[in-house]
Amino acid sequence: MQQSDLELLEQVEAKQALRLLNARFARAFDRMDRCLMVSCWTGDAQIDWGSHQGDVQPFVIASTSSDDTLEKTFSSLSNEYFEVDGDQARGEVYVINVSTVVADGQRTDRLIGGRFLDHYRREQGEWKIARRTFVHDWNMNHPATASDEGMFALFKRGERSKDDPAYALLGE
Amino acid sequence: MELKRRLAAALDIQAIEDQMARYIQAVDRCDLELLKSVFHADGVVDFGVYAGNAWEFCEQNIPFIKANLVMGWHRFSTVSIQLDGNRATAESYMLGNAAMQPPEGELINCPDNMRYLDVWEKRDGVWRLYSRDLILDWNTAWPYSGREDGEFAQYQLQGQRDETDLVYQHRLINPL
Repeated sequence: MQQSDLELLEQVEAKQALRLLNARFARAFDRMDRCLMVSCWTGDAQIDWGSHQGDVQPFVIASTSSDDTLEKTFSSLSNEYFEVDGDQARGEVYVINVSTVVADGQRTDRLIGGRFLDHYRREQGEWKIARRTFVHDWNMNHPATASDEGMFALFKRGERSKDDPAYALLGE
Repeated sequence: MELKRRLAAALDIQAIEDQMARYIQAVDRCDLELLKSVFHADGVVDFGVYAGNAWEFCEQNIPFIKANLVMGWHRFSTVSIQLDGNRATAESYMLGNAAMQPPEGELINCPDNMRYLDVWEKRDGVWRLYSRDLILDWNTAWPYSGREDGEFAQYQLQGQRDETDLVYQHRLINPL
């Protein structure tokens, strides 16, 4: 079946919108931005992510609540593959989450590699996550050896809050 | 006509990026059929460890990585695509992570940073790889430090390197 130019354009636009949605999810997660996090999900969204099973609300609250055991977190997404069907879409997204975890006075660099298997829905023109399943592929754990000296003292620093430099550029 | 041409270019770039994603899906799920579908039948690769026909490479490589890697996982990013009609050249960055058991000694993680240098061709409306070279930029070997205890016990959905992986149930493996 030959698709019209408009249909083809809409497919590309949907895939770009879904990439943006996932980037906003990463920012919401890494900056503990609850408003942004809420905006990523449909009202009836479901999650299957480790200990979080079912309605997404407890995950939204937990992932955007301050946690002294998590010093920093960096969620980098890639390999985004989508199948779009009108106002519905499915997707696979690779994620590496890099965190410094503080436990028993020890700081550990923890890397988790995995994938999101998603269902998305477009509501009032906005793509949202309707169901997200996290598949764990691997993890690594090393004693933290980060340096705060030399050039590392000079870099602007990421923050798990709206003090992060991204907000000055992109607004809230 | 100008608008038609610009739309076609946007679609071509998206179609090639979708195929780049399918390539990694194939390698990480050890899916031979999907991997071959990303190449034209007369495609070629130069991966150092193998240079020659792409389908023969696929048939040799999938059993090899399945037998020799305990885990294999790749991400691609930093994509640049140069379209030239029904041909395109592309560079993409790859960050791999694998676990392997050396003949002697302990299990290791061996992350690497590589690049793919590609020639893509659109034939009968479908973009597939005509040529892919693999360039190694950086690699290392670290003692395996994966854990299943403590907080990691919550992750009951573990990726699989075959058709039991959940991505198949989600109908996200779709060779062209």
